[in-house]
Amino acid sequence: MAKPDIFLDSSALIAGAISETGAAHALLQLGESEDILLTVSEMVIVESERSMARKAPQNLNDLRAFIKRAKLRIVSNPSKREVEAHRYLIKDPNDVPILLAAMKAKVDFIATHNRKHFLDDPNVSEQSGIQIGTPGDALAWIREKLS
Amino acid sequence: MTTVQMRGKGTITFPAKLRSKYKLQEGEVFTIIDLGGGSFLLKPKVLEVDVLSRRIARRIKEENISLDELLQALDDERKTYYQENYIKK
Repeated sequence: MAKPDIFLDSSALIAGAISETGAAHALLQLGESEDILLTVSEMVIVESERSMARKAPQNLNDLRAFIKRAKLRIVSNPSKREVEAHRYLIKDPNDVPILLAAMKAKVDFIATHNRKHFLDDPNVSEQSGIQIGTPGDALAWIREKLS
Repeated sequence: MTTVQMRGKGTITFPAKLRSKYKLQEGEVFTIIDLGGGSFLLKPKVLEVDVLSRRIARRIKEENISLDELLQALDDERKTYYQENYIKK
């Protein structure tokens, strides 16, 4: 059975890094233990590091070590042309590179806390063909696969 | 299927067959991964992500920074990154 491949949006990555409990952290534990595959894009890494550098810079080195230990697969960002051609996928254009990177990586699930643009708009999942949910939803989906 | 029973103070005896199969010794440290819905995964090692996030969580708490603040910062950074990489020439 192929390992579940979960794309972590930066909101899920940060939530998992700043708390030892909760579904987002459990996903990262499963990544380190190699029970699942965790995928992010270059954009997710950059915006996560920049946010931490801005709000709590003393944690930047630990966040980088955390990313390494969780064994994240880091995929390239889509090109400008690809993003332009896929603007229809999601309402907020800023999210297109994230969604497109996940689609190109052929992940099974996108875990995010972004309610406004991802979770509350069923068209995004429909258009992309990828299941989208909170880290808790992703964990429930993995649980189903494992049982 | 192997079943175990929880005893006083949450003690569970690890079945001898599995201890022998995986060469698990007394004092072995496990990480319990909470999969939600009452399911757990038991790993015979300390995970580095736990050590690191414990440290990050402590500092974040000391600085009084909330997850919402960090999520807002992420939102701002996403806009900036998009501008830098997908709008500007």
